[in-house]
Amino acid sequence: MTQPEGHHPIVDQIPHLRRYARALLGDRALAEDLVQDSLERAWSRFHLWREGSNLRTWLFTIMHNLHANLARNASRRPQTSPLDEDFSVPVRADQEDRLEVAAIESALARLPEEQRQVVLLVGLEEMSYQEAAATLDIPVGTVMSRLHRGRERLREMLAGAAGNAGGLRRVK
Amino acid sequence: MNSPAGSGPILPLGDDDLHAYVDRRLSPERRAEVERWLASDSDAASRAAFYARLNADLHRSYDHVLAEPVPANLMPAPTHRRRVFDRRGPTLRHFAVAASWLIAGIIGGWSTHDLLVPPKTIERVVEVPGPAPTLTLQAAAAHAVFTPEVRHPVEVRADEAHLTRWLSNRMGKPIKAPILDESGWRLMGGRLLPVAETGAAGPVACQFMYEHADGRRVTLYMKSVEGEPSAFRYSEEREGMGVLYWMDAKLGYALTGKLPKEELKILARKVYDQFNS
Repeated sequence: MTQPEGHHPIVDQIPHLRRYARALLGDRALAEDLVQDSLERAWSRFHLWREGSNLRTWLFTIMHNLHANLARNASRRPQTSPLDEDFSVPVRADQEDRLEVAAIESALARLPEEQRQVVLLVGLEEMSYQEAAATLDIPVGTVMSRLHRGRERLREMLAGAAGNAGGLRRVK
Repeated sequence: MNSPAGSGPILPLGDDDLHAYVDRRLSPERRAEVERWLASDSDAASRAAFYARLNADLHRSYDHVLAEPVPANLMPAPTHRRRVFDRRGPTLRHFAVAASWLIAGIIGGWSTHDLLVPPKTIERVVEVPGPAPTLTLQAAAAHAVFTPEVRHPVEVRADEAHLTRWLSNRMGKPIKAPILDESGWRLMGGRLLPVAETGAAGPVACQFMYEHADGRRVTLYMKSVEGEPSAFRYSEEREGMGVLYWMDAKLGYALTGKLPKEELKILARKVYDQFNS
């Protein structure tokens, strides 16, 4: 081969794609499948990537589109439980300074996917709002409103986990 | 908004500023304004604190994935690797594919001239009323089953040399996989399918799948038929899913996709031309 694989820019992004997929889908096997399919597509289409454009958003967009196709076509699959007004996630109250991993996972799973995507792209992958907008092909204003609704919903859900920290009361 | 006394904010402060504050997307000036706001508004301060802790906890929950070794199956396959690193690759590959088509066409044309009876009125697209023939039903069902697949959309991939040879053997007649790259549709591969009725070579049909750069997919379904060559016909099998189908002396063809009829027709014409060139 002409270059060592480790130097290919896509390779550097693989851990990030895996981390995001894991958090988005909440299931290791599903996430690995999605990443593998996304990378297959990315490798075979790398010649379509415009040099100088954002490789990271290109890759995340591929993954997002694949996942959206799957979700659309799997509408018969039982959905995650619908959101009602009152959904608190049971968590132990012995951790005051951080939200438990299990509580985070459970709360994320209950978030509408469009909000979960934005919360994760921004909060976990640390994309700029513009990058998140480009990845999801939505306006920046929509990114901001989904981010706000997602974080607020998580705040409601995780209010129990926050214990008695000031101000983190349940908002009805 | 309670704007603090003294230097009032240039723009009103709001939710977006809280998020941008914890995501470190603010200019130093704006950041200072937000901090003054938070100092005087405990509700905003507690929300910002939650957002920041949420970000930290997301990292705590998922950063371990970054450290996991990358499995070999996530690295490029040998064929992809060549294309990835050599941007002239696709051109050379297409050239080779074109050359092999030329040869296959010559051989195929020689041995299959009895199949090549063209539809008499190729430009006519007929809306078929009433229950659609089994060809379109089966094609639509196969389309609906396999196009959503991410892992196994096709049984044999297009880059495997034996794809058309295998399908030709099983179908008992020469099968070509038309190339539609010029129209933006890339051949992904094909598969063998069962049918209820038994044709000359057994109860088999086959399907090729194509994908557009935007993720849409169309399928070309073929099975043995007895009867007269037909014109292009159109049937909408289910919501938004059109089937354009026709027959020659021995095969029925059905091109299926969620495409406008005119677009399907253009593709069908190309398929037809390639089977008859």
